[in-house]
Amino acid sequence: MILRFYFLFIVVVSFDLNGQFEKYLGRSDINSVLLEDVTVFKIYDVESSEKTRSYKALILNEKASDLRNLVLHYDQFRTVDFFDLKVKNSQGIELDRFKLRDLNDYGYTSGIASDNRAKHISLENYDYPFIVEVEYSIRNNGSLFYPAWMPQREEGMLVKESKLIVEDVAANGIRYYPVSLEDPLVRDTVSWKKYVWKVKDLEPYQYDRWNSRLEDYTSYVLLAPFNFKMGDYSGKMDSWKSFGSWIGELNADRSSLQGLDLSELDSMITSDMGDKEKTAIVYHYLQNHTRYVSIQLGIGGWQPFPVSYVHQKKYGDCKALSNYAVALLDRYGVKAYYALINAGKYASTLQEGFPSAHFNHAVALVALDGDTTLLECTSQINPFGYSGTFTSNRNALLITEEGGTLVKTKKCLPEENLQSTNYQLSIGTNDRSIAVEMERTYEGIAIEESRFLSNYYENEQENREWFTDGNRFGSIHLSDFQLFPVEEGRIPKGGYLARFEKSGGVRKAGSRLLIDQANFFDCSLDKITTDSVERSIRIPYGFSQQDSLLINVPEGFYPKSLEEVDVETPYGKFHKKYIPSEGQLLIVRNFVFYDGVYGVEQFEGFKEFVNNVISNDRQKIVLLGNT
Amino acid sequence: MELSECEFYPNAKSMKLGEMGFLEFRFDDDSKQFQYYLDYSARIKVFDVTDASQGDIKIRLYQPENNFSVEKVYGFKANVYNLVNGKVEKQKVEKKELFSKRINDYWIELSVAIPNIQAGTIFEYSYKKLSDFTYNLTDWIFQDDIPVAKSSFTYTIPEYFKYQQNFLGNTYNVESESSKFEETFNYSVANNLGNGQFGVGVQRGSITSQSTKTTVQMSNIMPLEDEPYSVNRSDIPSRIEFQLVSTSYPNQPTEVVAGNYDKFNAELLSRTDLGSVMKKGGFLPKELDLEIQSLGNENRIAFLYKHIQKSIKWDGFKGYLSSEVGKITYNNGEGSVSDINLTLIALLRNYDIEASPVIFSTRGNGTIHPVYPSYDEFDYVIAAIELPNQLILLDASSSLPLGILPLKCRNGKGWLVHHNRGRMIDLKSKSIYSVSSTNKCQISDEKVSIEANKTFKDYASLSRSKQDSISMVESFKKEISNSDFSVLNVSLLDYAVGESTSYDYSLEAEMADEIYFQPILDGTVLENPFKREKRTSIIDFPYNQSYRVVTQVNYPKDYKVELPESTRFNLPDKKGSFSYSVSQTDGVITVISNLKVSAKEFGINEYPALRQFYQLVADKNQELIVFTK
Repeated sequence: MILRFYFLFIVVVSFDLNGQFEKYLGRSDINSVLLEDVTVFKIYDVESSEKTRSYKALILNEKASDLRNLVLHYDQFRTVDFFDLKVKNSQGIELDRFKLRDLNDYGYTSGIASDNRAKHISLENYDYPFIVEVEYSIRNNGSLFYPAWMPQREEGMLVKESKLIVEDVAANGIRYYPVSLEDPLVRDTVSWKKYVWKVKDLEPYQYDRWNSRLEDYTSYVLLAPFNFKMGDYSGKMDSWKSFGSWIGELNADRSSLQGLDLSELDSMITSDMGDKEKTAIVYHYLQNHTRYVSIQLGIGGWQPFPVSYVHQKKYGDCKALSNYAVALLDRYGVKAYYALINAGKYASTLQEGFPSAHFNHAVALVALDGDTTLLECTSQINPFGYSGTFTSNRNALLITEEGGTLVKTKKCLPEENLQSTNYQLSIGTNDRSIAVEMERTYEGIAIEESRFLSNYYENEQENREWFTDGNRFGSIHLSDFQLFPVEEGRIPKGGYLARFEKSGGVRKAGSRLLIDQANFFDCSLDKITTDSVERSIRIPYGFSQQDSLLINVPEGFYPKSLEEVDVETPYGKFHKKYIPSEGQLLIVRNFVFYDGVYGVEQFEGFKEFVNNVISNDRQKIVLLGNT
Repeated sequence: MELSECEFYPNAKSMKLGEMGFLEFRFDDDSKQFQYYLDYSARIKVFDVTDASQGDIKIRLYQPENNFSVEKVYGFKANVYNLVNGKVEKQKVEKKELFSKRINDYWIELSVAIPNIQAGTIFEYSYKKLSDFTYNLTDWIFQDDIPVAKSSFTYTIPEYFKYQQNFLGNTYNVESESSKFEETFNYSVANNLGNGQFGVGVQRGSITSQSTKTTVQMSNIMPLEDEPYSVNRSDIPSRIEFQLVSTSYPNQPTEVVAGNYDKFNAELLSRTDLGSVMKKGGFLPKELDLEIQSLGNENRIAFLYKHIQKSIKWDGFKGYLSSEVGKITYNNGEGSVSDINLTLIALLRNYDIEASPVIFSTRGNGTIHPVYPSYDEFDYVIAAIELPNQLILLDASSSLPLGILPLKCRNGKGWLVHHNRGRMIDLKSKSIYSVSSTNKCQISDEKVSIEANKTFKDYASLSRSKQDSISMVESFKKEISNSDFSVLNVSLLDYAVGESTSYDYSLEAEMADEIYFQPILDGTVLENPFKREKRTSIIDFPYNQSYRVVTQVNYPKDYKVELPESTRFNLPDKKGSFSYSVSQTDGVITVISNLKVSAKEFGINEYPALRQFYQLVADKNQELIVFTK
């Protein structure tokens, strides 16, 4: 008998034998650890700079998506010069290596044309934990943007150590805006300055449901130049005034309407009209004749098309359309301004004390009736005068002949953001069928609710499908659906009337009939289940609801009494009243949710208010039989 | 120009007035092969200016870098017509308004924004395409997101090519006309003296073909709709697809390319990137080889599957053909779906396991044609192991346990490639989504407390397994939190990825003088997902579904109780069943809700019954027990 000796196959278990990472593995709040990280930002002259970053990170699980999906953007003004990525296992053995040529390169835009491209690699299917060692450099040929430095870029990341070094070789000086960071260490060399920021041992964070303000979570610093150059255009950025001048220079000589046929508009606008009327006509003209098309190439990412181009092509992006609107208004004697803004429901506002190119949108602003009205020129469906969650309540940079000025766009108050619904409910006792007539109106930002405004402009079939898909009763038969015309203004108004039927629409419990209030009332907030929060609660938009439900109580039944509710808290108000009468029960409901900022210690009260409203709306209305 | 609305679909915001295609063949002297030439034009009218984005046109071209086969688009022209003061004004779109961009290694995109679109504008555009990809020509899709008044396609096929022409998607009336057409192809190719030398001069000549010219046309075509549970949108529109069956050039024998699945099967087996690679399975190091030899069949399958999963990372690309099967991919440690699974098949075969490739199209990519296969329909390959009484399907590009396929694979049927047992197999077999809940309730004078367990099996478990245990508990807590109860003590029992995930938890609520208790709290259908009254596309589930809830309630003896009634009902053709049973013994109430959906596809005419079934189930599951003190 021959004995055979096999080489035993040792399965490598994926915990490190090294020990130094063990302290991270046991913690469920960590997805990744940034072990070492150095970014060097070298400013060569007023136009060119280079950013080099080299870091080492431990990736513990697949939730570490920022470190596993490396994306390096570039365009006409930026080039990725160098890239080297090593993937190692926890014992330090190299598993993979990627260089610049190994990266995927794609151009992306949802628009028609853009210079934006990105080098990209995604790290999948490595055993966790694994280590990445990355080094890359990006050359900038244009100084509109200096990089922001934020080492702790996503949830669950523990930062052991991270450093930013800015080498101002050009000696032009830099401006900086640190958040939760100490001032930098500044070193003078013979001719230029070196700035160093360092962070150590930053604990990982998780986003709270009620707070999306980066400042409350981590440290970062924004950088910006004093003097800058982009393409052929030079400027100063140390004040909003001078930065506004630079924008004004880019926009110069692009507003001439000479030679263009404006007879249609000329015929609609007479000199006896007030500014508001003229602006409304111009705005509607834009909506009916132009559309949004995104073409961002070269400095054209910053410079609008001339108004002649927009007038002939009947399209443009936000810059071109806003510039066009301003030029048209000027023709009719209405003073309007091109303005830049950071748009989006949760976007941060422009900082008064730190001018930078931190915007993503252009609009036109006009003073009407003593109020600043914002014109959203890219939307063919936006009600005239309405700003909404896209652009309201934040700083915008007005571009004037004297340069730039920051102005604040208006905010809609909770009482102005009103959703109001009146229901009438009839019940068939034989089959528990229901017939409902429902009249709903939306005011202010409520008009954005459930995509009402975009649905309003679809055809009839889609309108009805929108309602059916969103209804809470299930397989209803929608017998009637009519939209009310939208009323324009800073606080727009819209709504609909619907009639529908359904069998088995009320529940049976013994000899009783039960109506679920939750099918009629919805405060649109989720039940709060966490026990505490670590950061303040921020509610950026408040709203209110006014509802009534008139129930035709079927013969042989009477409603069981329910308690009235009347609550007022610092977070909102809630009021519900039950008014029975001959053969009917009327329920009147008011709910107001304030905007505001509440401290951590107020969480208990906030949670109680919200959860009480939710559970009260879930109560059932019981119809008892007359026996 | 005066048309104010689409006559056959008055709701439309835009419509396609007409669309025309002309296809013919040309001979390319440089590549010495036939190409097809397509002349495309379309004319669109915009009624409502809010739909002006119809004028944002994007055309994608398949142009892989480092590939000799090419598609070229040229001669793009566009015009816009507007009624101005009663006169029709024409505006031409300039060449510089057409942008071209490489999106990634395989595709480029041409884009143009048509200017001056107003209410009532008509715009038209046309372009020419020259393509090497003659094996499937071009799909002609009649139906679109906007109504189409007329769509017409004329194609002239030389006698040397025989194509299978399949009409697919929604059925509409097609007008078709065919005639013979004589055409001549001139060629002028450089002399090749052999040995890589090229001689001076060219060979000129011409050949004549009795070609067939066909025109197909459809009129008044309704627009496509977006509906829930409709997976393969590309399957829906009315269209014609081509597949090259055979070629017979002058003075050359007929070469069969593809036709039905038997021919396709034979073709695949002879390919160097599918059939031939299956014998490349002898690449494991000696120590492993010896170890595997010592294992029995079942253990071998498990070992080899796990080994490939661990050794080769998926690079994110799909596909079903590979020239890097075996050693190359194994040593590389990374590969596409085809690299990995064909390597697995080769490996299994090397160890005497009856493994074969199954090729198919993934969910969302459309379904494969049941009779006429087309090379570009397939985008995936998995391994099938034929055992005496079962078929095991494996996808080693995933990290799932043996026998569990990623959801994207659960799409209709796949073709098992085999020299004499080639056949269609059901990709949805043994595909289940199952949730089982038990609730033990105790009612006292002060409170209602529930000890609950929820177990998710198979695909129900799969969607939950991507988090660490703490966040799985957190997200589960959120899921069950909208009830009238407070949630306490959630704990995750052990979970096995793709097999079973189980939670224990407790609920509590205050007791009032009279309470309405819904015994079927959750874990089943409580809301009808099919709300719309009409349906225009097939309803497609990737799995069978099973939802079972058992609730037991103990309550004080002196309480009054009113119970719901038991019931049961089914879907036609045994496609689903629901039973709700209520019983009471010795002061303990037991309510059992059992819902099974045993079919994975429902046709349009089955929709009303399906919708009603779900509504009855949802309503019944929401019924209440009344407890009165």
